[in-house]
Amino acid sequence: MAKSVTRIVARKSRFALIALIALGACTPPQIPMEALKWSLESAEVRTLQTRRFQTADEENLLTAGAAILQEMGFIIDAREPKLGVLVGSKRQPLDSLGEKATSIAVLVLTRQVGLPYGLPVSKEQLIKAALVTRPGENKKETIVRVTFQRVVWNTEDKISSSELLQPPELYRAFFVRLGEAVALEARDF
Amino acid sequence: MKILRALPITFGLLAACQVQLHDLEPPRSQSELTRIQARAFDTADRDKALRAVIVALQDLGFVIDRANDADGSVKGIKLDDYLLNITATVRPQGANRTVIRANVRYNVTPVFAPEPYQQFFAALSRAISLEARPAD
Repeated sequence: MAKSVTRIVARKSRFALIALIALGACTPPQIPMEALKWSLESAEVRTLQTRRFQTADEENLLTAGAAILQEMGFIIDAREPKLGVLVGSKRQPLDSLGEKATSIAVLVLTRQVGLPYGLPVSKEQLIKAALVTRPGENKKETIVRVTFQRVVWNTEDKISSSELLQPPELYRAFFVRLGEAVALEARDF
Repeated sequence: MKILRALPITFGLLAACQVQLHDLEPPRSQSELTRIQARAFDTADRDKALRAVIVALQDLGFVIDRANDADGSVKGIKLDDYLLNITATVRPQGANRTVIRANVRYNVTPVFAPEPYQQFFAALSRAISLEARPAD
């Protein structure tokens, strides 16, 4: 009697397991809880990406910003001067010697055990830039914020990474050039 | 044999979830969806509202992808080993109110959970310096 009860429970458990696996496989991915959450880190990133200019001429800053992005190899995709928005993108090949060395090392190792496999390496990246201007509180200055993010594809044509670019040098260099272009000092926000 | 018996159940469950995944209809009523995705702000200044949307999105790590003054819409993209798309539209309501509605997509999946929208409207409320009220 006890054995038959155990058998029934085991059978039902197997069906429950199959059902759970089947349902789990089709559950849509959940958005990360922090994806839209404002944080202190957001404020630090904002400081990095933002400068103040002593001018009310947003149009001039947008025009100068567009010229700098074009010098950096970006194509201007969209422009909405009424809202102080300029959007650009740049696609370029990637060639990482470090990644290639790792891939070759993995290939040598896997070939020794009869399962040759070369790790995919980064092949191409798309960098998107958005430049946004807005009037400062005293209306005599303009606040400029620029953001860069990129998507990287590997040699299997799969996205290997996607991220906001955060090297401070990138933003500092951009604002130095913008300041020179409009003959104004780029002040910290 | 037992495996063969289990197969129809497995396929049945997978088929059911295929329908669910490809169902483009939001899983809530229209009014419930508006409650989640829209807020009203006590301002008639459309330009201020649109610029505040842009500021809020940038604060949340989005890169502005498109902004259209005529349509009153802003689109942002966030990349963080996932793809988050947001489109926000601004429209006046009456003489002194502006309603802002957002649609979020996580990778290819539309987002209907209230929390991400609450977080977005909290950031927007900070950027526009106004309280976010329920939209009608």
